[in-house]
Amino acid sequence: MQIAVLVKQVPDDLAGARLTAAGVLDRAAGPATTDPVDRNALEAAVALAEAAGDSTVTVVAMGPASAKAVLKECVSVGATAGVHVSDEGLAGSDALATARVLAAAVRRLGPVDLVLAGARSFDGATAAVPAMVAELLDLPQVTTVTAIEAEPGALVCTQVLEDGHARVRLPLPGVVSVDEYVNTPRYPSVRSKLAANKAVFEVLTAADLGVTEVGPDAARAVVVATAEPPAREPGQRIQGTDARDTAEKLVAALAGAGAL
Amino acid sequence: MSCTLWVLVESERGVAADASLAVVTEARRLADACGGTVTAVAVGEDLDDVVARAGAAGAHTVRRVSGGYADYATEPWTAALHTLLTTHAPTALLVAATTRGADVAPRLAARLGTGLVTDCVALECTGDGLLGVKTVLGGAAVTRSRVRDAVAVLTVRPGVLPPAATDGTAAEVVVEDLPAAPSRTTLVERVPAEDTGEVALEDARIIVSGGRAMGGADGFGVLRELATALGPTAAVGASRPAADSGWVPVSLEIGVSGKKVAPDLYLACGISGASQHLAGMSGSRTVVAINKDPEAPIFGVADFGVVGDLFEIVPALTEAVRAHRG
Repeated sequence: MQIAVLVKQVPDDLAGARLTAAGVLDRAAGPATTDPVDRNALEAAVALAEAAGDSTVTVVAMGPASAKAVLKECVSVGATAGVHVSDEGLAGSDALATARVLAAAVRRLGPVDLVLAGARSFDGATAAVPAMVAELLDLPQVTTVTAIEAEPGALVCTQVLEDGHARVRLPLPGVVSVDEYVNTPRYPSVRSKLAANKAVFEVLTAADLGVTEVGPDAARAVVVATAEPPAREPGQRIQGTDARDTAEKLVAALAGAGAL
Repeated sequence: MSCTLWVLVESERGVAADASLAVVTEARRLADACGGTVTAVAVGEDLDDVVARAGAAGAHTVRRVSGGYADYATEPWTAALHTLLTTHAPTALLVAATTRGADVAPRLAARLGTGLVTDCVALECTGDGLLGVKTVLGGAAVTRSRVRDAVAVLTVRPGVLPPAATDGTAAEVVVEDLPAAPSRTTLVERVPAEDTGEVALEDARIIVSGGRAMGGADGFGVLRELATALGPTAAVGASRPAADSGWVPVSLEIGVSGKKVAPDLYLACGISGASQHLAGMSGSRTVVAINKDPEAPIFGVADFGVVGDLFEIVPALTEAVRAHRG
């Protein structure tokens, strides 16, 4: 089974993250890490590959030079190869341009049976790129998957819906985006981390992939304004003589504020 | 500017999704302000009631697409919408960011080669055109985005808009004869949620939410009692640690990886206030935090804070609410 996994580097803590005036993530604002949900996508890939045998798992990351750390981490927990799309011109790309780059990178790998990705990134949270990649590769998709069962030539994917859940059969090749409930990612061993440090990744530019419409000028959706959310007034602490008194004071305060 | 706004009205077995109808009403508000029109697109089977409700919610026109669309599938829906949008070229297609709405919208945008703004918490009609307002970085920033293309695609976070109108006049109905494109995926099983009599999180006006401090599935009992006391618009939610631990179903998780909610009143019980959770409940109008730890970050976003043991405070609060409601 040949599997491609789309992975992304994101801020380590959203509390310290910020946007530039152009609405682009300021990558210098704080430490970065592998998108947590991408760890789930990789875990799903490695588990499927182990079950199928004779398989490869190639991780594809688009991002600055520091994104190489994400590829190393992925190799330390089971990926067999990595592709790094690194190009200053990619900064400020919208979801569609990002999907075009990633689809081109996957296409370059040759025939793949499955493309796996996190359902929504920790920072941007557009939840758009996996479905766009599926469209651009003309593959069927199942998004926001919480469980995967392998069948010969297909996967049966569970999706949580607003009022229940659905199980959908996806013939392979196909694209699946997973959420964090799909599995528990494994941890690297010291030995696997050391081995991953020696891994060499193919580094490509957008031009290498034949994708020219990237960056803010090519974005079809553009941020025209950014702002901090309106500051909340400091909250009121409610303290009574005991639990009952506290509760009654809280209800009175909520009723007074029109919230009850 | 004048705009022609289209809204995908999602439905299942003849029942329209409230989140979609709320988008129709919001589209009507925008169209009335800028001199535009609203067209609802209803895809599925048994659509009589769906069409009627779309009109009542504010659609001027409803385009009805039936025949081979009984079960949702990405590819037939994408193909049908793509045909309609390329034929009529409206200003924008608005889609509620439900699981299915968020599945079809990006695929459609990629097929159209158009820009996409997802998970908007508000829509604005300005001289620059239609803007999608969204929170990013877990609520740390707010962006306003415009799509450069003629057919913009925007999705709207469920729960952030007021409920749909029900008093609109009947819409003009156009029956679209679109043979369904083949689907490579197949629906194996559709399992409705157990009817617990509880209101869905997206529709709840009050949410009582529990975190790690609930200690287990049984701990959520006190929250359910409080929700019951607060009335039929109240629901129980959870933070990721509680959902991860299996104490409540995954579908009750609120946060970056769970539901995004915007109730009138949000009671966070035993929730520390990690940024991932705050991102899911940042649209709440009034926030109450109950936590043992006076330094918990949740107090930083709470309008009312109680420092104490939730297993003492919440039952007392349930009694106080019952007394207040008579």
